[in-house]
Amino acid sequence: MTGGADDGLEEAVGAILARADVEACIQCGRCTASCPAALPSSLRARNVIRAVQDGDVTPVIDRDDIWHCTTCFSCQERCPKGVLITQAILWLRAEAARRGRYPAAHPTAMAELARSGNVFPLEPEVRTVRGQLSLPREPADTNHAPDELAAFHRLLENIGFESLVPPRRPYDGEDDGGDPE
Amino acid sequence: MTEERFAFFPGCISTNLYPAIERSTRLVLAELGFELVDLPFGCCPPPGVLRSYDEPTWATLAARNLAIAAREGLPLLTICNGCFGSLEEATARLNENPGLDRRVVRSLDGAGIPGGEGAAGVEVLHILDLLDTREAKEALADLVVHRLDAPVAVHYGCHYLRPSSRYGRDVEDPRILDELVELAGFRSIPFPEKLSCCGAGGGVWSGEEATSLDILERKLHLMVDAGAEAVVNVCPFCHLQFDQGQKRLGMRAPRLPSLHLTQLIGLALGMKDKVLGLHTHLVPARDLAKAAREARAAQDARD
Repeated sequence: MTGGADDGLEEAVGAILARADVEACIQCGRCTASCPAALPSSLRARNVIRAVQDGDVTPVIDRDDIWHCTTCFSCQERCPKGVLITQAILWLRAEAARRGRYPAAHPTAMAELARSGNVFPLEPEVRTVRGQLSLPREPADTNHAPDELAAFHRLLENIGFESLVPPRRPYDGEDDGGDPE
Repeated sequence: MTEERFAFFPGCISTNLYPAIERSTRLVLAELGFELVDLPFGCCPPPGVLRSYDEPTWATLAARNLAIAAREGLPLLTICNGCFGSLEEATARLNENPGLDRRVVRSLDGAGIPGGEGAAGVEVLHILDLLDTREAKEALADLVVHRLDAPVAVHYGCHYLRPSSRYGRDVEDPRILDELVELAGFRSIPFPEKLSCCGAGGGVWSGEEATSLDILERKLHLMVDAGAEAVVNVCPFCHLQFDQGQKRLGMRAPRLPSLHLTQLIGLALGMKDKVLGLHTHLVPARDLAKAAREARAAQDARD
């Protein structure tokens, strides 16, 4: 189980229901049929939307399924009722992350973003390649503009970036082989 | 052209992993008469990873970049669907939600970052839109020196096209990229599931590798089976997926070189493959590079 009755989940799901127009869903399944992640994973967009309709998303946010969505928007594009399916999945992810459910590799990317201003750091060998291609060895980015980098770090501190998500907890089924990985 | 100067937003994959894309973009856009202004931008930030965790935080970091462009009064030019999707979507959020906009501007002010009040008004462009004007196409047609006539698979990627409610583009049968590729003397071949995802977005590339690679594997086979000699992208993240992903897939996938559109156009304009950095990819486009060298040699022999 994730959280208790007072952890704000019910209110969050109500907001997703309204903002993403989830009530309009007729459960036709075109979303799942359009989904590139439905073949290699157990993500089923229709079931995710159904859970929001039913107001019972705990089983959804406790599993890894929603994190297999590539946010390609094919489902949302093809939905005959205009439900903001991809957007609903993104909002559900935020609720999952607030409860410690998120991919194990993401904190590394977030930490690099906080350090250098970029999720992908500049590796030493790429400096050499840049030089060979007649580019400055270091790009003209935040990471190489000391004042901008300092301001960026102040901004992250002010908005509480470090404490954006709690420590990670395993997904339901992750330890007993339930994860498709 | 109405706007010839742009705040250039190369994105961290092109500067930090595939500088050949940054280099090719600079060379090609200079030839076409566009001026790129370098500014101290940071990560867009990632629309898949960071936006999944907290939208206001994602919007704030995007607004910092938009503020940097706003200070110069310049439209912002992206060469990546990820950067485009993140920054364009952020301007939409700031415009439709004045409360969020005020909060973001306060955060930027509080950190001593000027320009925040102009963030929501910055025009965010994707390079395809820059090239899809009559003037740019005429300039391009005049500059093409080789028609290599090689069959290529075009990959629009997701966040240039979708959601259509936001961008208003033709998402059923888009032709913008096909037309540019053909203008540059290549053949854009039909293949199944042409508009489908490369498998990298949404935090899946880093978070769920097996799913990401399965989607890629399917896509690569569809392109190669249709006779493609290369895949042409308009997004360094898709490029990273195609190029590095083939290495990760090992023997499961056929080899298919990936080129950013600016590299393909560079070849058509007679630029050397080494200058465009084709050799720096993990799967180098050897056949295309060879064809371009031969075309140049034939041209030199005629001159």
